[in-house]
Amino acid sequence: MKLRRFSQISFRNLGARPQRTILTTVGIVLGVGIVFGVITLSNTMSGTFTNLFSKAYGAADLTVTASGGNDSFNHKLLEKIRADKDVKYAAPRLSLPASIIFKGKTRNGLPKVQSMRLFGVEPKSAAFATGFDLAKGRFPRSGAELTLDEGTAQSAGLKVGDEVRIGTPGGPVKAKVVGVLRIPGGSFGGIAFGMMPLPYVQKEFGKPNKISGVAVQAQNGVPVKSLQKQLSRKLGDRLQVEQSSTRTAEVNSQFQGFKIALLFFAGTALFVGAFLVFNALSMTILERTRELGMLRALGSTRAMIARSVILEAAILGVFGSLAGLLFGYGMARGLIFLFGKAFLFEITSLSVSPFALVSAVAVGIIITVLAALYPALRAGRVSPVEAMRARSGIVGSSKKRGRISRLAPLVGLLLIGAGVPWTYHLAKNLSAQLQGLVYASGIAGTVATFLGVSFIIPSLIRPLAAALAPLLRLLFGVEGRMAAANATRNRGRTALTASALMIGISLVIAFATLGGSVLGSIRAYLEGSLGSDYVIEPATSNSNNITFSPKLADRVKRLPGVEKTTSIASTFESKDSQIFFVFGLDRNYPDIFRINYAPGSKSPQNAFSKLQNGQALVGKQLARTHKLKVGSKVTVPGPSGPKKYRVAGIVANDILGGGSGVYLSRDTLAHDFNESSAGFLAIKAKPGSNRQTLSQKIRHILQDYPQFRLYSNAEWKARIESQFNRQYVFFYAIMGVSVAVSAFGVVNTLSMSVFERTREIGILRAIGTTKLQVGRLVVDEGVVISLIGCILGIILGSLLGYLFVRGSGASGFDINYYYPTRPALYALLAGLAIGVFAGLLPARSAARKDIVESVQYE
Amino acid sequence: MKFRDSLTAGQTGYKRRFRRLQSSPGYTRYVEKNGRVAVEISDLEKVYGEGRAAVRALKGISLEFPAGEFAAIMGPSGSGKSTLLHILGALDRPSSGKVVVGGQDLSGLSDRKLTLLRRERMGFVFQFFNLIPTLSAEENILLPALIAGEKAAKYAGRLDELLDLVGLQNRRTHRPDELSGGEQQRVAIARALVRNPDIVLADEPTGNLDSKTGDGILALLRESANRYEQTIIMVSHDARAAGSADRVIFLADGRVVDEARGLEPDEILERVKTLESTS
Repeated sequence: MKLRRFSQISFRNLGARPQRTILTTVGIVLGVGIVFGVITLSNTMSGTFTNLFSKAYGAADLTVTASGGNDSFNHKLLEKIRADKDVKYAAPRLSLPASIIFKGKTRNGLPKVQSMRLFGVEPKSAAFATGFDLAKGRFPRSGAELTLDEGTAQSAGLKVGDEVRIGTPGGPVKAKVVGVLRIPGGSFGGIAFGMMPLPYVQKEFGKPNKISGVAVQAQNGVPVKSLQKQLSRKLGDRLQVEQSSTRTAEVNSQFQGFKIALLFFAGTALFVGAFLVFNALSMTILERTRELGMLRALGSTRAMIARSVILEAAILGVFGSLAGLLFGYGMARGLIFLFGKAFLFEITSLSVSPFALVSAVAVGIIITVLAALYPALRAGRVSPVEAMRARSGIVGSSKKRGRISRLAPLVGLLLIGAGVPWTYHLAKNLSAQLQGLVYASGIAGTVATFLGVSFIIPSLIRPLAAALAPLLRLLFGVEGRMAAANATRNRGRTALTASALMIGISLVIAFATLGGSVLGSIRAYLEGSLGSDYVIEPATSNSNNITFSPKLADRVKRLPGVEKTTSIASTFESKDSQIFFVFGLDRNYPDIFRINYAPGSKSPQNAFSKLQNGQALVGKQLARTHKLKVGSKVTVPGPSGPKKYRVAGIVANDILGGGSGVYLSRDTLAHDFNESSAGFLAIKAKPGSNRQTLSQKIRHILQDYPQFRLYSNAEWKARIESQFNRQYVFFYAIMGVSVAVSAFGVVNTLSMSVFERTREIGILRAIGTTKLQVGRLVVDEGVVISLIGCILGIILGSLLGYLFVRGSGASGFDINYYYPTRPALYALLAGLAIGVFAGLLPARSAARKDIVESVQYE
Repeated sequence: MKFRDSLTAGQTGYKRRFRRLQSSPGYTRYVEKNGRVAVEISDLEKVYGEGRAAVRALKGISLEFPAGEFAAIMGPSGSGKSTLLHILGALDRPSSGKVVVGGQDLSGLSDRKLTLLRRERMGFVFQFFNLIPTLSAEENILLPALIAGEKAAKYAGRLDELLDLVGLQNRRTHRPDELSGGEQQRVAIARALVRNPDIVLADEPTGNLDSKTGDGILALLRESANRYEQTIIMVSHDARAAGSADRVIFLADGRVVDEARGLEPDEILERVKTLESTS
């Protein structure tokens, strides 16, 4: 390409330093990729949910459900709805968690089980009960007929006419597949979806005469709104009549906080990417000072120079953003896969919206150009006299810089001073309602803190490097000490690079703190209060609310070697974003689980026995937020209106309900909440009994309940932890990208250092420094920089993590703060590794420099 | 005449852009080309730094450079000759005193105006050649035209002419790192001449070259001064280089201490030695 215009010099410059160009672009690619990935992920999520729920709740105009929660109500109400002359049709359904049991076995010899959402439907209105279309066969008519979703049918190789087993509380029942449903997006997020005749479901799941929802279609010409009002007046408070679209929107709005958190992580990665661009361009300009001076001497105006730098950035921005889209697509796929693993909701199809495409590219270009503004202005300010100077390097600007850097720590302290208390305040007081605005201002506080620390870092570099120097000297000899000194030579650059790393590391540490604290609290609870030897739980962890019949508990109880069992039934109710976890306990509960009463509870000895009188125990957090005392009354929303219970005691170690649990007797729960069956059984073995034979016997019983599994204490704890960690992997993956971006920043800084010190390296080599020593000098500098970033990141992350823990505490979960020792250690090791790996390439180029040329280098 | 034609063809755009400068008082390109003054400085002072750290690099210099003259400025290091060149080239501003280029007083001109002035009226030759490493020889030569926003195609004739002049016709597509030092400096000279400036400022143009190559470069400057009626102001340590100038100006300690015409290199060397020993 022949040069035709001045602006084309920008392209030449990029082409001339491919390594630098690629390094700079990597920042943009990763940043844009993560933004695109996250937007696509959240779009896909909303899209999938909207689609699924709008279909699942029927394409009908209105949906009638019990107010608050997933309760069922008497099917007589259906007749009331049907009696309305404005109702064209009304299709009832009984929606239940169930499981489907396939023929094969898993690797450890246990039956293959999948969670299923089961709809009991009327044969005559089955087609209206959901909005799903039939792909094959027909809807269920009578008996054990099942119409199954296409995804599950395909993955299990089931065809119309095949037989399959369905897990019910009383044990598995055989069902015949009579039809296959087409599900938008392929599957119901990894959960099977099935329809069976309503009477059959009511009988097998112990819900006689109950339904949980009715899809209502208005007569032609009747406005949906007026029918809605009409029906809700008729049906009373206990039932709610909603437009199907509102319900879908509600489901979607529950993702808001999740989406904001995702975007925040994406934002950090982009921010770090912008750092990288800023850094790289500043370096390029330093490198080209004389060239820029010459261009000024030849008559380029300041604006022309600045424009050419911005153009250079814009070119990078365009290409980087486009490449970022590719990366982001892969990333979205990966994230959705991880999301499926973490939250047990598989999404098979990806929805890429034009908005995501355009906004990711626009954000990428804008951020790149913004990051280029300051370097561009500085490039424009290069004096034409620089053209005449022998040495390249900005000399004149040091004075101005001094003034800024004296002010920066102050600004930084101010920002930290504002950001930390603000975040803390939010965490402590407001996060009970984690809404978009609270999230956003919490994020603003966090960002202010990050910025503040970044401003202070330049002043911290020298003492930190000095502190690290003895260690480096010990580890790496004299090169280590020199490297520490080198890192302080351009404090601004070192600080920029280190703060980019700091942000990524501190987020990882903060999340590790939160995760570790939750896990630690769970562990402490289990160790402190679990008196059982085995538990029986649903086999799939996304179907925690399936239940078993009391027969299972009885059979286990009668086994020789079993001393005691206790089963727990549970349900949840929500009102105005406040969630109540309600548990039904039997008399054996305190013999197996130890209950610690909060100080101040009167006569804790007989507090538990008062449950039989219809009183309740409440979690500590709930007591705090509702200002409850022993003897006062707690109001819990229920399927048949709000219920009041006298508080018999306040539980200090309420991990089942995360501090917000309400504990009733099994009878009270069955009576007030229609929940009579349990899904969890804890077993205490007789001392001295043979555990192996006991577990074999229990497993034998469980053959009749393949949707449930037996876990020993150790297995159960491990299961809880792995379920928990799975969710964190998802966030770690996103944060890992921003750490990766900042690692590239270290490479960039080091190559610049090598470039700047060409002559110095030549001299070192001339006086007898070996190639290896020169290389190590560079690597060690990388280690110094990244260790500074990691150490600060660990400190800041622990602090943020503490705030997160407090924040979760306020929302009802009672968590103790556990210091993330292991993650902090890993972060330090990661710091070392990043430093070393980032240093390798620049070190090679330093070691390979020709001595004679370097010494003569001007 | 062929050359003149290509020149005017290439300058229609520039003329439009430069009209504002042309209309400034006292400016007449015609007059200055006919035996008048190209650059005039009076009572020029330059102080670096402030307070006790202040260094007076130029302590009141007044000089005139007639159009078409090839002048050399000599002096020991620290005499202020580089500073003087920077100010003459509108790269830097004096602390006090006046610089008049082609009848235009530079004091009070904005950075942008100074930049335009450099673009239109000055050419630069540097000690370290300062070619853009990513551009080929011909692209480097055309750079000032591109900076001025002109189309490269307009300068095709001019480019050929200059490549002939500096003898690099067969090296035109080479990158700077594929050229020898002498060749790079010739590219730099062609670059300085491409827009036919009134004044060419050369900062130690032979400083990085061996003496034979340096002689070639000086001959080239000499020839371009004669052929294109350009004023050439050169700063140099090199007595041989100064010997090829019309006039040699001696600087010491920020002041003009001597000037002479038609000196032989040996005599110049002698004078510089005296200056160095006295200062």
